[in-house]
Parts: sequence; structure tokens; C-alpha cells
Amino acid sequence: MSIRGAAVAWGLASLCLIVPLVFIGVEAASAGGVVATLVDPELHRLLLNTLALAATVTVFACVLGFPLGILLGGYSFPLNRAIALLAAVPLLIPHHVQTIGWMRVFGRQGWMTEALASLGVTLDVRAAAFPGFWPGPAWIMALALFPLVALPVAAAVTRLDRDAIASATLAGGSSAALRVAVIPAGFTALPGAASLVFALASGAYAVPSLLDTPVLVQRVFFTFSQRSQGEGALLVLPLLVSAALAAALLGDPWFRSGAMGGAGRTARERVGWLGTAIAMFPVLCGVIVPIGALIAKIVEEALRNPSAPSPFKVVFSRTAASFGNGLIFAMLATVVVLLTAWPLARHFAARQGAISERLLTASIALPPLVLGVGTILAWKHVSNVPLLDAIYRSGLILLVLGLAGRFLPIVVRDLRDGLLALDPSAEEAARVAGASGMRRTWGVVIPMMRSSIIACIVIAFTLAITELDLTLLLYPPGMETVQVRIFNMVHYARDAEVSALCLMAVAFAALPVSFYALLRRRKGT
Amino acid sequence: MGTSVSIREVLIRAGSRVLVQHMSVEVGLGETHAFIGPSGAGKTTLLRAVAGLVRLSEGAIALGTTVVATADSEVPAEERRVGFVFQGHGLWPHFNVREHLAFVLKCAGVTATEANSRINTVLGEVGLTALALRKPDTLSGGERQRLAIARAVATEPALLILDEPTASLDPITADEIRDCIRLLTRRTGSTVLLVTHDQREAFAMAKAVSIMSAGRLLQTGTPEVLWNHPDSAAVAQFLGEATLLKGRLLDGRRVETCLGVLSLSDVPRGDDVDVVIRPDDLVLGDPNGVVADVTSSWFREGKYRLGLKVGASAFFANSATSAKIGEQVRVGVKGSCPAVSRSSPL
Amino acid sequence: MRVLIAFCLVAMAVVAQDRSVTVYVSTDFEHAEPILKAFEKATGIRVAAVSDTEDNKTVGLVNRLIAEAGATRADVFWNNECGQTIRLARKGLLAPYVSANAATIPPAFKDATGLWTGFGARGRVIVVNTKAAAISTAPSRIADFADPRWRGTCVMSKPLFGTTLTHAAILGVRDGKEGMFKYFREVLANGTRFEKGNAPAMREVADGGRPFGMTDTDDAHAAVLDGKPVGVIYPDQGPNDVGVVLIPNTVMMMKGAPHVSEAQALIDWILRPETEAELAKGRSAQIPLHPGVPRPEHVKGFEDLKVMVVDWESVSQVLEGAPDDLGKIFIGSNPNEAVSGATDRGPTYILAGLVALVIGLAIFRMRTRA
Repeated sequence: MSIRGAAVAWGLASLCLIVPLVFIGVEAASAGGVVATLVDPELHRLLLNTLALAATVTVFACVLGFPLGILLGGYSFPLNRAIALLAAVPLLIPHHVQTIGWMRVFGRQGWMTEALASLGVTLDVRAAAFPGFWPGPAWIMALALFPLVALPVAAAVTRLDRDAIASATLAGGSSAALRVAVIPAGFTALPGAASLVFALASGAYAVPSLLDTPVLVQRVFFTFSQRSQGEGALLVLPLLVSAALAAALLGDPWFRSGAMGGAGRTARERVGWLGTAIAMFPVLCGVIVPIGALIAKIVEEALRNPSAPSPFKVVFSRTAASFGNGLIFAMLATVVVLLTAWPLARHFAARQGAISERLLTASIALPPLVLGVGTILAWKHVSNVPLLDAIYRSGLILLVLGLAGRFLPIVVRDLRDGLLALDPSAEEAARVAGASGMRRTWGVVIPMMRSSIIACIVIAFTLAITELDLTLLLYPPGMETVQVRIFNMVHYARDAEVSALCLMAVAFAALPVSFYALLRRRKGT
Repeated sequence: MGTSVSIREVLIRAGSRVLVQHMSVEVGLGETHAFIGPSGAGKTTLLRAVAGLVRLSEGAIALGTTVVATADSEVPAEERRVGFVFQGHGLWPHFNVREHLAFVLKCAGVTATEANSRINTVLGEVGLTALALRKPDTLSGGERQRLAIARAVATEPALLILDEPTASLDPITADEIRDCIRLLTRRTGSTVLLVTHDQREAFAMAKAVSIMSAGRLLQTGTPEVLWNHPDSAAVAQFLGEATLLKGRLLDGRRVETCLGVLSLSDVPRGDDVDVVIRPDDLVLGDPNGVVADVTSSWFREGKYRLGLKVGASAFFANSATSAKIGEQVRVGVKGSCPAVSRSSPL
Repeated sequence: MRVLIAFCLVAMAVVAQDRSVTVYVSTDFEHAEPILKAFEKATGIRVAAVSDTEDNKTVGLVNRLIAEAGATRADVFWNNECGQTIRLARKGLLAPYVSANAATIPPAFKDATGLWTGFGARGRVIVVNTKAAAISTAPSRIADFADPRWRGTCVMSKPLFGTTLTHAAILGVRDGKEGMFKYFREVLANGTRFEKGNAPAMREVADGGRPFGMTDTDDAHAAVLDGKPVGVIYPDQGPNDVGVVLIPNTVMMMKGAPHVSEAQALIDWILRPETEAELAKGRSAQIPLHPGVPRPEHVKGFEDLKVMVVDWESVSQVLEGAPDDLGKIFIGSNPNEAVSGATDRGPTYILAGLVALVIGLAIFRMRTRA
């Protein structure tokens, strides 16, 4: 990649991610007492808790996502298309909705808790099983994040040369094929996915907050709101360092499959209903429980008060505009994040293992609060420049850039992986044929990357439309989104209306995923 | 119209590894020049550098009178007017056959009308007219290779680079592809650089051949020169089925070996030489020859190939008749043989 | 790209309309929205709102306002409590404005210099699950939560955010900071469960997890509306008691507000008695501070209650450092299990060991790859 291309890439990344971080960094440095804060044993204890929780979440997400990815990528079984579609849905369900759903099962008054209590077993979903191990919060977070493991593992297995499977099957049957071909291929995607889950789990706030898990990010929010933003930002530093170390350690595959090649045309092995049962488990837990809990709430309310108008009608009449707002922000953010991620992904594809790539991955651990405040601080400094002032005051571009910065690392990784899977001689052929950089990109690389790009569009759009924390800080006055609306309504316990709005929001966010799945099916890819 | 190619003292590094070291080769206008050598010899890397896909660490490359690459500056690949047939084809899955050609002609600034006519001509020449609307994933290996070649020559480049154009093809298809390349390059007059590990292909297609090993140039010359006057044991062995017999130089052109006193086609340097013996050089049943044990025998291309052993030395001979394993035959050497100095570089 | 630019310009043009006011709202937007819409209709001034809740997990609006200091985008902040308002005032982010409509609001609920004005208050009340316990057996004073008589029967929110923090600071003014810490330690030691917010604390009582709890009147009223078996006690109403703590909504103008006259008009509108009447009627059942405002039966009148007199300036001083100390008690350990106080270096050593291990592994990997 040319130096000019790299400069453009980093320029765009700076605008949405690096400059805000610099400003918040300056704020942190000026907070005073930097050393005293960082050597506080209380901070270390919270950080250890955070690492332990993030590690548990990562293990759980891998345990849930890896078999699903292997099955989706390498085998054929009844309902596999439906399960493949549902596997992405947990990403669309906000973490607090996921938590509320599971609290109905394992919460203090949850049906499972009460059933166990009648047998004399006490269950507290919030409690640590032993120091550093919180199975409840880790389970819920893992259910929200396992698609990040399952989808890349499935993609890696799909890329596996079918002849490798066939030769292993001839040597030792299906189990040998699974052992020496399919699982090693899936393993190639596992460390990268695990580092992403670890980073996201380190910075996640909703579940630890709702379940009262003592992790560092709680302290960060408290300090932000009650002490100072600089001090709060300072506490984020250890989170970033740990996520960067995890990315450095897990950034490249630990297990290499020697049999990677183009996807073959051989039919996939059928594994029958056993495959369906195994693949269904995480999907059931991650989708059916929270959605079921929402539906149950609406039904319960309808039975209690049959004359009440439909909560769907009630909330939609009040919040229709917020769907449109969310759509605009998510679409713009998707455009910006793709424009930014593309040159960066090209840069990283050409220079694999760069430290800057590791740092970018680590930035996903950044609590959105920090990024949001950093964005405001950065733009505030140009608020007296004509035009830039209008950008600052309207807020639209700030939110779009903030969302782009937030999800940039994920999209960059996905695009980079897609680029690495391309045959490099295809672009070189265009180059020696005299195609300029732009013509190569539009004429050859982008069409060949079509499925990766569409997947990235779906991911970026979905994440942006379900985002809450950053949106609360940056959304333009008068243009709230559905997630903001849900968040406000949750406080006043309008459970049926909240449930209805949540369901509508999930369905709305699922539209592009469904469209993508339909497109793939029609194209037969 | 072709171009001359001048590769001068080229050194290419990848990190701390040296892939090509101090190569110098001159290729004349419209010539076909082959680069052969074992895998990892640096052949592809060198030609990628000629195309502008790899940067030089030292040295220079000129196409015609224009220096296109030095360590400090280079003409971008897209401005060099080079056609490249990649080993893995590098086809574009989203384009059909016709669109592949249309794309490169558009890049070359050819008008639509002219492009249409050229596409028809080239597709006819490579035999893909009937498959013009097919996409690469529906083509056979040979058809894909033809498409890759058609794409490379469609713009009538001054220089055509072919990287293992017949690797992994069956012999019949490989012959067809070679004919196809000859036909196309004769029309366009392009200079051709060919990378192959197949000596026969190189000799069949090239006017001159460079033999490379471990990033170094071992020898350059016409096929006849390389065959009859190899510079080193490595060159002799790579060119095919040669056995090196240890010998002691008696005088300028005679050497004493286990097969008796042999005459040499060259005057080697030093007293200790290796004589290059090829199957066709040996005469079976020569009454003046030495006795050899037959160790193997099989039928190949209208003759019998016999494995022979004289003392500790083993070699092959061609024979019109078969022989039994364990049988003893007399074997002599006809004419003069090439020899290489035992101290010659590998 | 052109479409994008055009869209942004149009969006900016819309925002840059002359007669508009930007208000940040941290009260229940379902109630605020009709009031703001009525203002738009009556005055023709377009209202652009940014909403969030005080209970917020993100403390979004206050952080947004602090981050914007010096170049505020908000004209008015309508906060549903007082603690963060005082924090903003301390930081010098507020501009004084004394609305004529605030004249009849008691001085205890407004800043003397007009930096902020209170209205529509919520009370800090004791709630009872009437299925689990009779109201007569419930605590009647805030102090009772530390009384062994109610050991293991109560629930309340952690005093880290919102009205509970403000309540803690009020106790700090009354009893001194040490007295306040002592109270919370005793409440903890008495087996009281601490939830992350008032709504979860209310839910815990409503669902029968604990028979007694402390929360805000709006959460209690929402539970009653939902048909939960909940009774409400206004605490500390005895002759020797200090009275119930009322925490008002507050409205304020931001320093450097881009639209000053529109901001003043909106503040005037919000401070009308009619607004308080609306808030009293709503699900949050807020207590009017203007005298004589019509209210439903279930909403107590300000005049009917013995209300604790709060010196907000002193509260602001307590809030200066108290949250951090409370944070040490309530963050980082689950207070329901144990009281934090870890000062040993154990975690530091474990962490250092972990970092060394990770770096060692990374170096080992780099070497094996090389």
C-alpha cells in the first residue's frame, strides 16, 4: 500500500478515534495524582476482577461459539440456514435486555431460582462462585458475544479446502476429518475472535452494572460522574493495556491449518439432528430466552389488563421518529466506518502484525463514555471556527464519527481478513495491465470483496443502530434514537411498553441481517 | 512490438533474506528468454521485479532505453506495459471471459470499437470464443490458463512474462498452451520472459535460457551452449539425466574415467574434472567398452532405459533392446562429452 | 459523498434556525415531552431535546455538559434531582436567571442567586410489601434501617448516584460526614441489601424479596400503578423527627447558552404551576412546590408533610468529597457480601505476575515464530 494511502487511512482514523483519545488523554494527564491513582491496590483488585471476568466470558463465548462455528462452516444439518441467521441475532439484543431476560430465569424471583429454592438449593446469579469467578454475569455476557466467535470460525472452516476433509475422512473416517482438518481450520480464527471478545468484555458496563459485579469499569463510571472526567479517563488506561496485551498475545493464529485453500465444491457432510441440537443450544440461550422474556412480559400485562391498548401501538405512536433517527445515524456511521476501515484494512493486510493494528484492536475495550467525552472535547476546541462550529453544534457529525470510531476496529479486522483471503495475483494482474489504484480498487478488489464488504456493512449498521452509551453522549438535540428511548423508559418500569419497544427495535435492527441472508440465498453463495 | 530487457546487478531482499543476488541478464528485442531452476531459486521474484511488483534492493532494470527500476526509484507496474501470466492465474471471479479482456483494454486506453475487434481476435486465437460469457469458476484448468494468457497479451504488451504457464496441466494441454503462446507472441512481437522448472519447455520455447539456483545466476546461454558446455555440475545435472563421472585429466582433451579414457568437447580448468555422461552418449555392446551390471530396465518413449553400474558409479543408458536385471553388458562412450571442473561453483 | 454533504448541510441549517432552544432533560421524557411540545405550540420556539435519566448507567447528560464546558450546546438543563445540579454550579457552568414564575417556590428549593430553581419534588420514602408485612411493623424513620429490629429485612439503593447520593449528602450535613459514613456502615452491618438503583430496590420490595425498602416516591407510585402490594410511608414525621427529605427537579440556564431569551422563556414555562400539576398527575407523581397546585389524591401536598429543611450550599460541600469515600465502601466489592477496605498489596503482586507472564509468553511466541 502506498504511503499516501496509509496517510489517508490514519487521517480518517485520527478524526474518529485517535484525536478524541488524545484529548481525553490530556484530560487524564492533567487530572493530577496520576501515579497515586495507578498504584492504588484497590484499582489493582478491580482490574484483576475485570481480567478474571473478561477471561471467563472469553472462555464461555468460545465454548458456545466454537462448536456452532464448526457446524455452520463445515457441516450440513436440518435447520442450518435458520440457525445461521439466528446466530447473529444476539448481537442485535442490547446487553441490558439480555440481562433482564436472564434475570427472569436466574434472578432472585426467577423461575429457575424458585424451582431450585423449593429443592433447598440457593442460587444467586450475581454472586461469585469463588473469588474471581462470576458465572452468572459471565454467562450472560458470553451469550451476547458468542457470535463474534462463531461467525469467524464458520468463515475459516468454510475456506478450508474440501480435499483436506476428504483425505482425512479416507484416512480415519469422519472423526479424523473433524480432528485433523475441520477443528484446526476453526482454530485459526479462534485467537483473533477471543481477543476481540476479551476486549469487549473488559470494557462492557451494562451487565456488570445490572448484576453488581465489582469490575473496574464501574469505578470508571463512578469517577467520571462524581469526581472528574480526567481521573475517570486515567482509570481506563489499565483496561487498554490489558486489552492490548491480549491482542498482542492472541492477535495471530496459534494453531495453523496447513490445508487452507479455496472453498471446494464437494457436498458438506450431513450430521443430522445431533448437529441441530448442538448448534441450537447457544442460539436458544442467546436469542430465545431474552426475546421470550420480553414476549412473556407483554402477555402477562395483557392478561392482567385486557382492556389496555396494545403496547406496540402505544409506543410506536410515540417513538416512530426515533426509529428514523437511529436509521439515519446508523447509515451514515456505516458509510464513514467503511470509508475509514477500507484503507486501514488494506494497510494492515500489507503489513500484518503491526503494533498499530494491535492497539486498534485494544481500543474496543475503551468504554464508550470515554470515547464520547473525548469526541466532545476535541470538537469543542474548533467550535469557534466557522462551519466547524456548525458541525459541533448540530452534533450529527460528532455522533457519526463517534460511532465510526467505536466500531472501526471490528470492521477493520473483518475487512483485513477478507483481503488476506483474496488471491493477491488478481490485483497484481490488474496492476500490470495498467489499472490505476482507483480502477484496481473499484474494478477488481471491491467486486472480489463483495461478500466481506456486505458482511461489514451489516455488522457496522447493526452495531450502530443498537448502540446506546455513546449515542447518549453525542446524539443531536431533538434526534433521539430507539435505544435512548428504551433506556429512558426502563427507568420508570413501563415493562410491557419497554418490552414491546425492545422487540420492535430488535426486529428493526434485524432487517439488514435478514436482507443479507436473503441476498446470499438468492445468489446461492 | 517488443522491447529489450536489461537486468543489471539486481539484488532483492525480503527482510534479512536475500532472494536474488546480483543477477545480470540481457534479453534482446522480441526474444524469448527462459529462467529455469529448482523451486526457491528466485526466478519468479526476479520477474515480478521486472514487472514492478517487487522492489529492488540494489541494481537496475531497464526496458528498452528506459530504466524502470532502481533501488531508489521505479516506474509503477501499471505504467510498464508488461503482460503477466501468473502461476495461479489471478483471474477475476466477477468478470466473464470477455469482460476480463475488456477491462485490461480499457485500462490501456483502447477505444471500445478497437477493443471489441481485439477481443474477438484474441479469443479466437486462444480458442475461447465459445466460452466468452463464462466466468472463471466454470472453466477447466486449461481454459483458465488460456484466459490468463489472452488477458496478458490482449493489450499487445512490449514484454510478456509467463510464470510456469504449463504447470499442473496434462502434457497435451501443455503442448496446446505452448503453441498458443508462440502464435500470439509471433503476432504481437512481444519479448517474452518465461519462468519454468521444466528444462524441455525452456529449450522448446526460448532462444536463450538462464539457469538459477538459490537466488544466483548459474549460467546463461542458448540451449545448445548450455547442453554442450555447462559451466558447472549443477547446470549439467539440472538440464537433465546427466551422470557425473569422476575423471583425471590426461592432457588437454582426454580424461581417464571408470568407463575408460574419454575425449572431451571442452578444455576444462584444473586436473580433477567431472565428465557429463547422458543416456544417449552411451553405446551398449561396444566391444571396446567396460563391463557394466544392469540394475534396472524399463520401456520409455520407444526405447529401453537401462540402469547400469560400473564399480561405484551408476548411470543410465538408452537401448533398442531390453536387458535383464543382473545381466552384464559392455558399454562404451560415443563422441566427445562435456566436462566440468570439480571446483566449479554450484 | 455529495448526498452526505448535502444532508449534513441541511441538518445543520435546520439546527441553526433562529427561534430554537436546546434543552437537556434528565427527567422521565414521557412526562417532559408533552410539556415541551406545549411550549413549542404556545411560543413558536422549536425545542430540541436531549434526554437521559438521572439513574443513568452512563451519567450521560452531566458528563456531556461538563465536556462541553466553555462551548455549551445546551441552553437549558432540566435535571430531575439536585446533586448533579450542584456539581454543575460548583464547576461554574450555570448562568443565573431568576424567573418570575419561581417567586412562590419556597426559598429552600432554589438557589439564592438564581443559578437553579427547584420544582416538582420527589420524596425519599419507605416502602412496604403489604403482603409480607403490615405497615405498622415497618420502619418509620430513616435511622431505623440501622436498627437490629429490622435486621436483614430492608433494601435500598447504593448511595452513589442520583437521589440516594443527594440524600446521603443531606445526612452528611445533618450528622457530619463521619456520622453519615457510620450510618451506612451500620445499615450494611444490619444486613440491608444494596441495589444499584431505586427502581431495582423498589422491585425487590414489590416482588417480595425484602419486606421493607427505601426509594423515591415516583418508583413507589409506579409500583402501585402496576398493581403491586406496596404501601408508602413518609418517614421522620414524628414531633422530634427532622421530616421527610424532598428532592426537587431543577431547571437551570447554561453559561454561554447560545439562545438566552429562548432559554429564559422555556425556564419560565417549566416553572409554571401548570407544569407541576402535570407532573403530579403523571406516573412519577411528583409533589408540587408552588402552593395550591391541583394534585391527585395519592400525591401528598408539600404543606401536608413535615419536610426536612436542607441547606443546599452545605450539601454541595459534602458532595465535594463524600462520593469518593462512599465509592470506596460501595464500589469494588459487593457490599451485600463484605465491606471493602482492601489495602494490602496482594492484588498488585498478582497483577505484576500476570503481566510478567503475558510479556514472557509474547516474547516466547515471537522467538518461536522467528
